[in-house]
Amino acid sequence: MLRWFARRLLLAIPVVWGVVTISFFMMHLAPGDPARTALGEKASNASVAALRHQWGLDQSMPLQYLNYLKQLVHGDLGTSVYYHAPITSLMAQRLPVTIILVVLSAILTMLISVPLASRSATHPNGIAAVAVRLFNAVVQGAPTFFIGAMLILFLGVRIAIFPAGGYPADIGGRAWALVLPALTIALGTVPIMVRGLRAAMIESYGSEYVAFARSKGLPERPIRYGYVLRNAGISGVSILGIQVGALASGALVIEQVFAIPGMGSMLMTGILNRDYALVQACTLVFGLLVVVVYLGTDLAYARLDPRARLS
Amino acid sequence: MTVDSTGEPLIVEGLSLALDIGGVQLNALRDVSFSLRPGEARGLVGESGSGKSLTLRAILGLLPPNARITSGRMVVAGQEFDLTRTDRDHRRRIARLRGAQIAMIFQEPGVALNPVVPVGRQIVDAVARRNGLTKRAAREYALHLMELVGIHDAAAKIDAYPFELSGGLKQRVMIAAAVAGEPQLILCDEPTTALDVTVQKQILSLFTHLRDELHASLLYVTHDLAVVAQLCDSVTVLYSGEVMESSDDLRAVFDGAQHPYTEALLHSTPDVDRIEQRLYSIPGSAASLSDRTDGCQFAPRCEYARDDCRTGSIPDTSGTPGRVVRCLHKVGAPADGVPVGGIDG
Repeated sequence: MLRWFARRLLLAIPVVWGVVTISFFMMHLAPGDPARTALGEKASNASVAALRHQWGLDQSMPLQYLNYLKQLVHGDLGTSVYYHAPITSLMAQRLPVTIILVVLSAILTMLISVPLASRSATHPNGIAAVAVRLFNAVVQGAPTFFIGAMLILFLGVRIAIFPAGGYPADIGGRAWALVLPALTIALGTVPIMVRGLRAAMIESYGSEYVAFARSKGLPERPIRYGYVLRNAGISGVSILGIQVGALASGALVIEQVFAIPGMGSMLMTGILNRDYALVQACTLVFGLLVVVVYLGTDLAYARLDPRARLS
Repeated sequence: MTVDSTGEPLIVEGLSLALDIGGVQLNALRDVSFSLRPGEARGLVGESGSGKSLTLRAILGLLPPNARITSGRMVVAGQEFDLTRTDRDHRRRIARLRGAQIAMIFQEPGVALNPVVPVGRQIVDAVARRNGLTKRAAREYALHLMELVGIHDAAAKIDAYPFELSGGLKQRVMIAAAVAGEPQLILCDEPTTALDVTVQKQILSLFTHLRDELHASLLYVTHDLAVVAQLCDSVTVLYSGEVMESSDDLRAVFDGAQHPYTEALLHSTPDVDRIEQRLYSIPGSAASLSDRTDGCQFAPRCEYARDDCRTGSIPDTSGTPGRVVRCLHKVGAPADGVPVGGIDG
């Protein structure tokens, strides 16, 4: 177990290095100059050149890349030229918000998907199944920011149960403010989850082990929980693991729509202002997040499926 | 609950069943009847596709969603069931039989056990729930059952997952789970087909042992007449969803099959005492569901078949109680003793 874990961590290193490298070169090869953006259109060429020299942007790209790696190895994410603050302390404020948002949307995804999938698996022509089909068509056709805007309109403005946006200072208010954005993100993943879970449950219901359980006289309820959901849950976990990437990228967009001060809005600001260090740090952190989630998925998988425990 | 001495553990009468395949209703079983006496083991014999497994599943109400029973009734330990009913009340009554009165052992132990639950728990989950056993009592009972079915190191195997056990052990686990509710009747759906020959032999002797121990009746589905000869008292031969021949006395069929299909089936069973160049095989192959016609289903492959075999439904011509022979031109009957096709024409 410990060896397995150590091996997985070692395997994560090249992945993270790849993320760092790609984000570095994509950012540096994209048009736009951070010094020019910071000083404005009217600044003199001399002052721009001075600032470029101060930030090390006049060095060759391989050299900049090596310096960046050296800095990362020391645990330093650099300084944001836009916020004029060390990125690690910016992260400390922003990262928890985004993590809570992603976790909340994962929980909501499961809370919505499991009953829907379960109902439409047992009653393939029932109301739930028809509703799921309709809902899937609508949600998959509409972009998340549109769904977010609609939720704001109906649940934030018309029937003002939830705040339409913003992030208050008190904890209760914050939790309440995260519900709508989390729901918006979740709704994008629910169709995929419902379809995967429903297929797994239908397969399980048709299996010989369920027929045998019935022949033993086991009632439907324990069959549903101990047999069908227990087996379908294995694919549910792997779908959720894969979808966390989608949840995280959903969070990036949705934070803008709801004015939530998380990683997403920081990343957007960074991109618009050519804040190389900030963008690279955000990409790196997201990469790490996905690696950690995959690791967690594998652990959960091994927990649920005894056949996966051996290796 | 015990069966009163006169009540048969199972009577099935006139069971007919249609399968919906692509919107077309096809008759998979036609007028199937048989019964079991207390403690009796009846072999239900036929080729694949003859409807043996469907018959078992119809009894337990575990048919696939595209199957519909069009006629038939069943009596289990004095309780009568109209099998064509599909209402909630009927389904509940059938469900109450499962495990307690009738249990079933499936063909493939590899897929009939829940892959993510330890085998010990699967043996007793239903019965523990029904009888309100404590966790400890359930575990004790599981250990007892595992020993009963010949799993020697039961304590070491009770927490194993199905994938950690061999095919033979998994089949023993399934048998333990089936007998856990002390049913009067055990339906066996080719329980040894998926096993290799030596394990097959062990499982068969386990069935013989369990029959004596538990006084349960067996309805044993197989395509293997040698297994029937070893284990059963009586036999019902199915072909394309219809009973061809049936006898309460197994020997009567083995010594003197009257239906051409039974004769052919016996003829195509390998026998070490009978050294032949090639094993006999019945010409042609069983008709698919959509090719079933009027008259005797076996007629197209039967060497005795005449024109009258191909129309109407074939009556029972045995004339002996406890025996059914649905054939107009029985084996061993005086050849052409009955005028065929009009002698005066």
